[in-house]
Amino acid sequence: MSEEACKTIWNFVPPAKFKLPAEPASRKARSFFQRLFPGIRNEDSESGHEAVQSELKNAPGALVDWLAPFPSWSQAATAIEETLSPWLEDEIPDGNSMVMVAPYGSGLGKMLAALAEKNHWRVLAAPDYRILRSRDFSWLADLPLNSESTVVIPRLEEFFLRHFNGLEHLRKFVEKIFKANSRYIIGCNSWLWHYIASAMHLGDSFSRVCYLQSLQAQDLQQLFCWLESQQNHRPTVFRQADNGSFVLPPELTGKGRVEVADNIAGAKSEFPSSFLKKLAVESRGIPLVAWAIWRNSLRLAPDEDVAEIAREVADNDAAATAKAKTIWVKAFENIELPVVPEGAGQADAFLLLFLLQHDGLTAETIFALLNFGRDQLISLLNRLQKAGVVVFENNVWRASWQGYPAIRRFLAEQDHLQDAM
Amino acid sequence: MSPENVGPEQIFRDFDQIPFFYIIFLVLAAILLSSLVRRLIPSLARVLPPRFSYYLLPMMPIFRLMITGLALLMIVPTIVKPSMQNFIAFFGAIGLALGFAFKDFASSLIAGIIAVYEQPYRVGDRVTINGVYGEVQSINLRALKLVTPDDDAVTIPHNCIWNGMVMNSNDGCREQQCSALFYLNPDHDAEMVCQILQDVALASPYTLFSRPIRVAVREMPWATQYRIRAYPVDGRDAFAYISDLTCRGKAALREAGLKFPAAGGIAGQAYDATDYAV
Repeated sequence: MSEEACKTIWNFVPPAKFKLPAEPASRKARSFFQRLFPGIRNEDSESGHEAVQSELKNAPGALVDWLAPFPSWSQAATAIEETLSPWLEDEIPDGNSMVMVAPYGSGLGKMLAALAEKNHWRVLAAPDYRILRSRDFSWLADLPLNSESTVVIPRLEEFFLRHFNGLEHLRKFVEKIFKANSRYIIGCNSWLWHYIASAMHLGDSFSRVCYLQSLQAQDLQQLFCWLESQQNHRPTVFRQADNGSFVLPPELTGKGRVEVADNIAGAKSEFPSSFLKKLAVESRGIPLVAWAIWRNSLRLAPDEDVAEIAREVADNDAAATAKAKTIWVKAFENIELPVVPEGAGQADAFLLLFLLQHDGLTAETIFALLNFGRDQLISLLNRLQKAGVVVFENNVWRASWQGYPAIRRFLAEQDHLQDAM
Repeated sequence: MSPENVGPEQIFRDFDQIPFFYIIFLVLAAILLSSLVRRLIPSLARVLPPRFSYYLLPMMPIFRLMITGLALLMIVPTIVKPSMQNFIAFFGAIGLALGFAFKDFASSLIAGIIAVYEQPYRVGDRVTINGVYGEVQSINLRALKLVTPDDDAVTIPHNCIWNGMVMNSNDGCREQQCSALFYLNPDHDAEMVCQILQDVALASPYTLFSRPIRVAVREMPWATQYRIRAYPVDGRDAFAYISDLTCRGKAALREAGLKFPAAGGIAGQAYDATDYAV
């Protein structure tokens, strides 16, 4: 899989052109009836193979890292640059701010940071949350208003605090940007953007807005093939555990197959596989959500020596002559994804909504923003963490990528403010 | 034959003609169906988004009433000899008995039927009846059950609707406007306070953003009154929402250096009754 091919999956489009991966009506109806009658079996799962699936071994972390490493964002940054080039090259552009909106778990902040680094643009550092909670607005005086270089704000979430003072900081900040002569490229997660536009009515304060187009099944195929070829030098095939079908085109996976891949890409009509189509729908085409579920689905055959496999895959020299290694992928219906715990209510919804809008929060900030008892919040966080819905990383609580589809459904059921993506 | 000449033996069937097993079957079937409705509708309401519960739950007493009525209609001909005179005599006697012995009960039953039709309250509504405020938990044939904010269950017969007043805060909708009041020393920048209080509502996790948030200002001799009018996502959280707005509002106003009026000034004033409205 060539780098150039992978770049094409990242597209930024006007809001009106944004579209989600299409969900077949039959799947929608089935999921409704499954919620109504939880006992209904899923007809897609082939019962004859369940025993085999249950015997599959979990792939060790090192192996999963080789097969599906964390995406690098350089191609996405290049795609953003190409999208922005007419606006950047225009000497008298209409408006000085461009907001790039992407759903939670899209890696947008990292894409924009990579873009800024590549072009040596200034990245605007956010003030501390303690400042955003106060009525000290002095940091706004230091904003680069007349910088010749483009200014990048990778995550507007860092400038946002859903606090009575925090909102005033954001309002003044947006006003400063509006008056500035510099060009501002602003990354914003879709949950925050929806809040800014629908609740604060600040959406029109920015000159231009574009959305990251959701990844369709074909895009996910390209992404996973490309990720797999990054570090894995051994030819690998990915087969679905319940029926043996290929999940990724075997010609495109594994280093050393690039030439073959370029020749026959698109020749197979059965790709993208049904697994990837379901994954695209479930993940709403969000890169890191799909990536996390993909990693969770990878398994090894029962007779495989896990340690040996990890060594083999990592051995670049042996890989050149090695036979293709089979990695089994759990049938989509059998992947265990986190669910919001039974009995979760308003307090859980508030907590999850705040975590999404802020793209993660420290415990202290959560205590300050939500008027619940600390004991209650600690117990909520622990309960949601046990369920795999939230994770605690680098001192920050955030929604887990795998749990995001369940969180979104839960918030929709509770009628809470939704994002548009 | 005139009605006064009708004896019980002419109205009712002979004892050996009454199909007791059929009647027992009908009663059991009605109980079963009724309990099925009682279980199925709430579970359906749980599965569907909460806004649908405001339409589904009020249907429950209607279905149960229909089941009871249908069962009675099927049972009566098996006991009473099927002629117009007999039916008139039978229902007349029952009506007379009910009229004297169960006057209030019958009144409540009839009011219950009217309430199902007129819908002065529905399951999930927040209502004030006879000075009791609470959420309608269930509507049965004779009475409705309210749960007050103090978690007390109050049973009120339906006949309260004949002469009493029913105040319904949300009238079948999920939304319910809430207001939180603040009083400030009059010497301040009112625009700034309005903005702060607007942000207080925006910051609250309870706030529903599809409905407007408004801050109303009213000058009083001893203070300036501010009232945040906004809607919570779920009207059942009205009290929690007002508390949340009040806590956040007080903190925000204090941080902005605004002064509250002296307690003596407020204590000496008569409050507008609507100040307490949810």
